[in-house]
Amino acid sequence: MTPDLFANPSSADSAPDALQQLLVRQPRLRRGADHMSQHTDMEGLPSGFTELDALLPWQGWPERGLVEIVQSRPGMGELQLLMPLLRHFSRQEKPVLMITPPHELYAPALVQAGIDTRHLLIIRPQDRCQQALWSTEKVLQSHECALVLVWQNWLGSRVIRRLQLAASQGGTPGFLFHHKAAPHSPATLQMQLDHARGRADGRRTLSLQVLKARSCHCRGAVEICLDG
Amino acid sequence: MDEASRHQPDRSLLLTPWTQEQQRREATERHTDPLPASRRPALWCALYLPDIRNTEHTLEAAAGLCQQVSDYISLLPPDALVFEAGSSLRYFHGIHPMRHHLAGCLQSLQQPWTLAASPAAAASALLARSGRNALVADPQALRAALGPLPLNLLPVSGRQLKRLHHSGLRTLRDLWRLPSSALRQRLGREPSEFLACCLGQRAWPLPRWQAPLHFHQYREVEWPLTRSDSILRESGRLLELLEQFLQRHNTAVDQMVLELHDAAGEVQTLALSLRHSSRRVSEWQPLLELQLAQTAITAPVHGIALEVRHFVAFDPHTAGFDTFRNARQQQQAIDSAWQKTLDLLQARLGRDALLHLTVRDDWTPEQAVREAPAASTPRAGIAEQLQCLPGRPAWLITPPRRLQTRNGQPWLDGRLLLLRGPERIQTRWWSREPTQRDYYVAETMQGQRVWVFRQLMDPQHWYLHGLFG
Repeated sequence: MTPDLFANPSSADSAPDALQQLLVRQPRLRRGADHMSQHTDMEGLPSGFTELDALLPWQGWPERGLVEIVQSRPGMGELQLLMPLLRHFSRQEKPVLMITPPHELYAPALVQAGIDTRHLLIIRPQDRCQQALWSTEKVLQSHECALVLVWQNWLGSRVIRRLQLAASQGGTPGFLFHHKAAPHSPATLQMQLDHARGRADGRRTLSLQVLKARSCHCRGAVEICLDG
Repeated sequence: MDEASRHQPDRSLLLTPWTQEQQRREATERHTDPLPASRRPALWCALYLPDIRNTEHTLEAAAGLCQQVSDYISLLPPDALVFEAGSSLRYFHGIHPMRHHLAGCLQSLQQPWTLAASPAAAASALLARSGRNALVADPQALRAALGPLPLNLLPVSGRQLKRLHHSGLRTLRDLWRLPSSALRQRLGREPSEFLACCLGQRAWPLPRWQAPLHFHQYREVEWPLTRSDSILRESGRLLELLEQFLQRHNTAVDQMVLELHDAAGEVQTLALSLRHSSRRVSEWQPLLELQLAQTAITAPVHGIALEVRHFVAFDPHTAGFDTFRNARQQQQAIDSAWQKTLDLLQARLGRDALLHLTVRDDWTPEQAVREAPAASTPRAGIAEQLQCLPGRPAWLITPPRRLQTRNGQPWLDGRLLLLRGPERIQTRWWSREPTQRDYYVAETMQGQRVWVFRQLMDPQHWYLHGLFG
């Protein structure tokens, strides 16, 4: 059997012993994922989920750049996934912008999650998609916004490249939620929310899959436990 | 004769002002400064406009015209105003040229008026309202000048006036013949104090009127402009004039209107607004550039006008003029940059596109949240109350979507599994449509967690009201 040289660190335990021995014996030989994560100058923002942090090369969400989250329908648990990050920026009193959310954001739920809504700004759905994209680019370019969340039906690689560039310039993390993965996406991270299912204790499990992480060959799936 | 009295003009002419004699006296005194400003007796003019209520003009408009001769004006609604004229006498070379100048200004009102002047503002007001164009220069002559005036000019009630009339009192002179204690007893405190003000024995409190600020500048361009960058360049000069105006008046603006005039007289209007007030060209110029880039110039522009009607107090802290350098200053710089970004967004998307979320203290879910324009200051969440409630969904479906039912069970792309509930929300019993609902947390077959309810009065119908996101 050919060993999976590009397996993620979380699956290191399942690596064959022979490969492990080879890695120990040959100091010039190392895993691709480790190599890339050592050479990236980017730090991670803790996601609040240990399993996810272990999977991602930055030990959390990338601190800048675009994160593309693909989900077949809204309400899968995407906001629950980002609640720890929102709470983190809320405590630091940094502004967070949500652009064209698919439904009305319900402030009591955010307050219950410990988020101060005073630092949250929302751009209503616009008549024209260009307006939302222009706003997204402007905010990603600004160095002052802590986090940008944007919802679109689908965006192509060219548009994503432009947003990725803006986010890199501004040093801002941006999360793009859409329904279909863009092929050859230039985003820093491309993830897919596979499915969610309830648990006996009333919580639910969300299944995530990393489709692409920039500067890293790691791929893999992880299940995280959401509160509500 | 001492120095002061030698230069003091004899102005004891009573009720015969604005005459040839007065003019002749003034002509001889014109180039002499009788007294330093601090020792010069005050001269208050009262302007009475009996028909002002019947015309489209306002007292403020008349006050604006009086600013040509005085910087201290006080309104006496509804039909009179007083202004201090003593300090302007030297500039106008006497009272008569000043009156002549004012008459020219008041022509635009196109209505009759009466002007009276005396050392006491209250006395001038009474004289003007009595319809006399009078000048009383000597304070000692005030009692004699006011004596013949009827009592109905005094600020007394109709009942008091009737009582005075029944007592045989007709004029102010009749009142002054009474002992001062009896006068106070009959008239009350305020009218008797007003009489003292008329004689200059008491100061009459006069709130100073200030004209509302207004900026309007029109600039005719040398050749017709069709390109937005040329229009921006020309508008920049108007913005610089506005900045100077704002600095002079120590104020700031948060909205303005730019008008583009074409050869046919048609006007294309651009409204600019900032989320915070500013007086810097550098903050307005990017907004204008954005607006011009979005606007189709319909015709060559022959003139540009900039108008501001609404001004706000200048805040040196938000403008970055804080002289105390500390860590907060750095934070202010970040906030300021963020505000600029938001201003740009607002300029492009519209004033209501950018929203804050605030929580309202209301049990009905759709009423518990309010989207406020980002310009307003949001309220902090009512965190303590909400922590006691069961978990709320992150997304609210408005209006609630009616669900299909199969065998009495809610159906959303498959059977809904009810996980928690019911949570009864019963409120607004005082309204026509009271809220009486049982809420459940349910899960779809695809793993979505949703918030559904059914009405107490109509339990067979289910509604989707939220997604837990």
